[in-house]
Amino acid sequence: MIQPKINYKKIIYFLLGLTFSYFIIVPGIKFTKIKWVFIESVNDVLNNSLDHFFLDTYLYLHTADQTSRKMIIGPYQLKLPPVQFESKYDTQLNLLNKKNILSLSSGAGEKLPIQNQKVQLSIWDLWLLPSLLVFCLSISFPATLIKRILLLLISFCFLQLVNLLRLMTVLVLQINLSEHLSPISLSAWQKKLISFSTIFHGIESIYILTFLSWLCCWWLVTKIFSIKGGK
Amino acid sequence: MPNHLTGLQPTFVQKYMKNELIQYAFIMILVLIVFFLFSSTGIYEKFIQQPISILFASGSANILKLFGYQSWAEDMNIHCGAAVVSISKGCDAIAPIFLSSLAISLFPKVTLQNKVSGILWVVLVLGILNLVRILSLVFSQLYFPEIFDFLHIEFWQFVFLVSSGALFIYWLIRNTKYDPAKDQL
Repeated sequence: MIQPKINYKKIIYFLLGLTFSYFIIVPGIKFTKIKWVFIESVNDVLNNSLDHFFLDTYLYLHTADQTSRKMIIGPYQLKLPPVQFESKYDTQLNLLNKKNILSLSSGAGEKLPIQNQKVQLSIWDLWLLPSLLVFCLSISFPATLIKRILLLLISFCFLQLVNLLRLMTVLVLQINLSEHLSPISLSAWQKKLISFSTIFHGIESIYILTFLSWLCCWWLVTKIFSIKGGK
Repeated sequence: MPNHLTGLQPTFVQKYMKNELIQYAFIMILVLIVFFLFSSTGIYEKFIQQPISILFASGSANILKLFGYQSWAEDMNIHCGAAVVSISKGCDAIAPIFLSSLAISLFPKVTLQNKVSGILWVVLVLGILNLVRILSLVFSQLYFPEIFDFLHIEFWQFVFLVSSGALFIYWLIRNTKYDPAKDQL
């Protein structure tokens, strides 16, 4: 029989530490203004990085705050009224067809002639909650400080890629489902892969996938340290 | 041709793929992908997810009746006074039960009897925990609607994740023995 080296005490401390840190950090952020600071920061980063990612589509993530926002597309501006969601969604994704704007409008300062496509999202569920879970798992892990920091850094970076991939599949699905936007050309297997990805958009699979991603990173960090220690 | 005959040193991948625990993790990931693929089909919804959700809905409604609440189940929905809770995909505990059962069933060098008893315990414990989750959601909708969202997502998803992991580790400690001579993960 085989068994990884297990220490009862360490496991109990890990589970207690994880539970304690999770239930301090998550409600502490969710029920305070910090949540909106985080969501707006993620939205800003995504708006800046994904601005010109899709050839024919402009996208803008808009938070349900009180201030009026503007979507700036070249010389044009689209005023976005504040969004008040009473549901679980915290963010509105606005999608515009670049081709339509350029063909319909003629000059700067002009009011945009087309309606934007609106999609409700929860950046909290899609992005922040998995990041906080990885943070709690890493800081509670019974190991040296250096190992914890390395685990946190590696798992956090890896999770950002997973999150980005998840968001990209959401975006591609929304763009291809919309009648007003230019669809992204995909091969048959890419279409299948994208439609398959929808099962990873649910909250249960977000938790499971985050935990499995963290486990992979934990294994990687353990291996790095054991190789370093063996030399 | 085997490496000892060719005189070549095994590569990093070859060396690690011989490790039983690496093989175990690799097969687990493959089976999980197949499970997630299968869970997106209509067959899964019709023959697995819906019957299990209906079972949990009727079970929860009957427990509520025992405590004197006017409640009834209608397909996957539980009605209790003004509260209506729907047991949709993700609230049926199938994924955590499958994950823990898979981790137990694939684990190498453990007797079939120990695996079966471990899986039965996982099904029982997580099944009861899911009933508690559903009842807590019904009560929160009745008395504390402001915390329903938190209970539904952040609280119970985390509890199920930790419980699945803890159950597996407990089973692992009871049914396996650490061998310091073996290469570990």
